[in-house]
Parts: sequence; structure tokens; C-alpha cells
Amino acid sequence: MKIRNALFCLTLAGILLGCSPSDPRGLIVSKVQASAKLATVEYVLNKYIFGLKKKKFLFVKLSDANFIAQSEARVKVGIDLSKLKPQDVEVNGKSIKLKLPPVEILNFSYPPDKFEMDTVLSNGKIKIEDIEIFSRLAEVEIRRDLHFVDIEETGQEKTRLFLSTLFKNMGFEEVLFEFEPISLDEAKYFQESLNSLRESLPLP
Amino acid sequence: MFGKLTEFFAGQIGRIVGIVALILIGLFILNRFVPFVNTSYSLGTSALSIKEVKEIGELMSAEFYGEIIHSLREGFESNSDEAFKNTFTSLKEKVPFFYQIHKNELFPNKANERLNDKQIARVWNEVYKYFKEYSDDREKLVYLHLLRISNKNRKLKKPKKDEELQFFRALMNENIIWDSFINNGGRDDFFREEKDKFAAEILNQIEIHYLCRGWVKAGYDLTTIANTELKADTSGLLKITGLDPYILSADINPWFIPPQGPYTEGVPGFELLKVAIKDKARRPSVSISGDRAKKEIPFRLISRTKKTARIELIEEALERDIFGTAKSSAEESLLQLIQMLDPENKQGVKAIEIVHSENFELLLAKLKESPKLDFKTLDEFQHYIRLE
Repeated sequence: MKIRNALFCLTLAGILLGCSPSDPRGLIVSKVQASAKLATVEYVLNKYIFGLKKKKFLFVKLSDANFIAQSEARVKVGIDLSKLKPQDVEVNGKSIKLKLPPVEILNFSYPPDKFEMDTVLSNGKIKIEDIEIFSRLAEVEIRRDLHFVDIEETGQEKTRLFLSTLFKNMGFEEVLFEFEPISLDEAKYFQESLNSLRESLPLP
Repeated sequence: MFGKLTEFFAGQIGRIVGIVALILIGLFILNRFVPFVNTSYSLGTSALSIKEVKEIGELMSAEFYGEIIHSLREGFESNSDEAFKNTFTSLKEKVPFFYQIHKNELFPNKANERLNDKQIARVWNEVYKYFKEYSDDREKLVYLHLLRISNKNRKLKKPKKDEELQFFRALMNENIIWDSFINNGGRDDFFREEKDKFAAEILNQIEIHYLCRGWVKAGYDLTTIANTELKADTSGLLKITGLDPYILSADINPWFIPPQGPYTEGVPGFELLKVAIKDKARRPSVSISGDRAKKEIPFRLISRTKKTARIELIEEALERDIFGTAKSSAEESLLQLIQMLDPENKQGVKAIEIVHSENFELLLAKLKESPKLDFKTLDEFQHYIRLE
């Protein structure tokens, strides 16, 4: 009788604990929307992925598996023209002065077909889900490391160059630019978001 | 007496089963707090290297964010004939190379002599090992398919187990496979036919279904604006002729990060819905799904499914008239820019119209008739889709 009662209680507890909380998902807007973004520079970046999967039973190591691959990311940088206001443009005869919005990443592409798995060095039991996790980890790392690639300066320089040519073709003789810097709040928000993405993965 | 004994043993067995169940349920509950079997993932340190920095001038004027379900089968259906031709060509380059290496390695003194069946079998084994270990399944299947072509062409009636040997002999002595390949290569339907057979062979064995979330961005390449013609009429309409829109990017990344935050919830770009392999050798018509299938699916097929998912996403965007939005949005943005540069409107520009080239309009009309991108339309449209 006691065993039966204990069994009943444990089963009930198991069922209750087995109900996981609902999985929060972002909203996917399945429609076409208008935008006005000017991309002036594209970076082609290389990243090697040295993924390690460890399986443990309590503190005893069960198995290790390696996933080694080469990957490529493409990042387009430029400005959002919709942030340009009429007061940001000053025209004096043949001279123009523009206060441009901050340079930002307009497109981040991490194409899966550019993943070249090294079949010689990769070993152990790697499942499809493992590859997904490694690629998500790698994307977070690339996005984090982009801060070390001089995106702001190069982006400003290429935007300046592109718009100068465009405006000179339109008849302006002098073109002056000023860029709004990347806001610190945005950079902080970006970093926090990356940390959050990282936390959602099963890391050691 | 017998009844009492039965009751005693039944009671004992019941108790043991109860205790075992109790332990298992206990472990299950405890596992939620202190996981016994724990899998962790980490990435080793690696640098992010800049391969190339390109100067571009793209006006992204329309964006589509969407979700699709895509399978390996759909990928094969939308695959272009060109890719299949390339597999044949790459295989053509590889096989004789391995034959040369192994022939000299295994029979150094008989390199110039004709080999007997046993010797050929040994060479074949070496080559087969290469294909088994280093090449992807797609190549292996094309290879086996070529074997069938060779037998068909030579009207050989050999037992199946000898097919591989016959193929290899043909390859070494007469180069018949490549003759057959080259002789038939001029015909488009040859590749179509081969591709269908080949696809059927893979699709009968493997199933992969993904839920994919990504975006497509369209707009104009402003570096070509100098080649366009500008004409203003008396009503204040400025016509820009010869500026065509492009699909500037179509991406399904490991993470789907929408344009407006918050993306802290982390929505995966690819979510695996179903994966299965039919274990033909052991149990015909029984498919293995779950963990075993996930380990056995070749990496190339996963990459391929993901790659072709981008094409389906482009189809979705085209169905929703991404080019139409790109045009109207670009016209509006350019007008606003002109109005900012000329606030007193001395030029008299009241509206802008982008006039696409005839070729683009013809293709777009064709696309509207049949919104699904088949190989041919995709090949024709290739110029307007800028995917790496």
C-alpha cells in the first residue's frame, strides 16, 4: 500500500514537472515591407569552427565528438536613409553639407551552403542538431567579433566616397559629411542580446 | 499449497517491479535538477579573418521576412541542371586520378600490363574505399549510376555483384563511361533524365524537413545609375529608364534576428521537423527516424536542403511582389532625397518613375503567369538574383 501511494505521488510529481513552460518565439512578419537602406561596403569574412561536444554521466566522461568546418559570413554595412531628416541637409549653391545617420550593419548573411565540413578532422557522433548548435554558436561569435572589425570607420569612408561621386554627378562641387556616431545604448543592447542568445544554448 | 506459493511469488515480483519503477521515476525527477547525462557544446578559439572588402552601392528598398517548410525533395525539384552537370564533370576528373595512383601503388611492376579480374577487384576496392570515406553520397550515387549506363551500353548480362568490377574494367580498358557521358552530354534531356533517376534514388532513402525563417531583400544597384537615362516632363515627372531591381540578399541564418528588436528570445533560423533514413539493406520499407537517422544523414545533403530553402523563400517574396514594393519604395526614397537637396523645388520634380528594362518586364510577366521558380525561369532570372 505504501509503495502504491509513493508510486502515485512520484508519478504525479513527474507529470507536473514534465510540463515545460511555453517556448517563447519571436514574431515572424510574413509580408513585404518598404525600406530605404544604402549599403556601401560588403565584408566577406572567414571563420573556422572548432566545435566540441562533450557527453557526461554525472562527472564521468562518456564521449567527445569534434565538428570542424570552415564557414563564410557576408556583412553589408551602410546607412538607413529613412533616418535622414530635412534639417540634416544644408545646401549652399554648389556646396552641400550632410549630417548622416550612424553607420550600421544592414545585412548579415551566414549561408549554410558555405559551411565546408572537414571530414578528416571531424570525428565522433555528430547529429544534425549538433551542427545547428555549433552554427548558432559560431554566428553569435562572428556577430560579437564584428566589433573588432573596423566597421564604423570603413563604413563611413565608403559611404562618403559613394555619396560624393553621386552628388558630384548631380552638379555639386563641394560635398561635406558628418556622421552620427553609433549610440552606446544600441551597442550595449546588441551585446546583451548576444549574451542572451548564447545563454539559450547548452554551453559547459 | 500451490495457490499459496503462486501468491507469494506474484507478491514478490510485484514488489520488485514496484521498487524498480520507483527508482526509475525517482531518477527521472532528480534528472531535472541534477542531470545525470549532460551534453555540452563549446567552440574553440578561432580568428575572424577578413577575406575581402568590396565597395558596393545598393539601395535596399524592400524587405521580406518569412517562414517556410522546406524538404530535401523540394530542393531536388528546384535544382538546376547545371549543378548536376558539374557533379558529373568533377567525378570524371577524380576517378582516373585515383585509378592511376592505386594502379601504380598496387601493381608497380605491372603498370603497363592488362590486369586480370582479381587484380582489378583489388584496385576497385581501393577506389571504392575513397568514395566511401571521402566523397559525398551524391557523387557515390552518380558513380553507381554511371556503372549502370556502362552495363546498359555494353549490353552486359552479369550478376549484380559483378557490376562494379565490370564498370571498373570498362573504365580502365576502354574509357567507355566517359565516352558515353560525352556522347550524351550535348543533350539537355540526358541530364534531366539522369538527374530524375538520381534524385529518385536519394529521395527513396532519405527524408529531411526543415522549418526555415529568413529574409529576402530587394533593391537597386546605384553604381549603374550613370548608365540610366533621366527625362523630366512638363508635369514634373522624372523618369529614370534602364534601372532594374535585384534580389540583393536571401538569407536563412542559424539565428533568425528580425529587423526590430527584441531578439533576445533567439529564434532559430533552421528548425528540424523530420529526418528519416530507410534502412534498405536490413529492413526494406522500414524507415529509421530519430537519433540514428540524424547521425547518418550526409552533411552535404543537409547543406543542400538549406541552400535550396533560400530559393523557396525567394519564391515566397516574389509571390508577394517584392519587386513591386522595391520599385515604389525606391521612387519615394529618391524623391525625398531630391526634395531635401532642392527644398525650394527649383528643378520642379514632383514625382519619380523608375522604368525597368524590357527584358526584366518580360521575365516578370512570365513569373506572374507561373509563380513557382522552375529551373528554366530561375536560370533566366539568375541575372536579377545576386546570391553568392
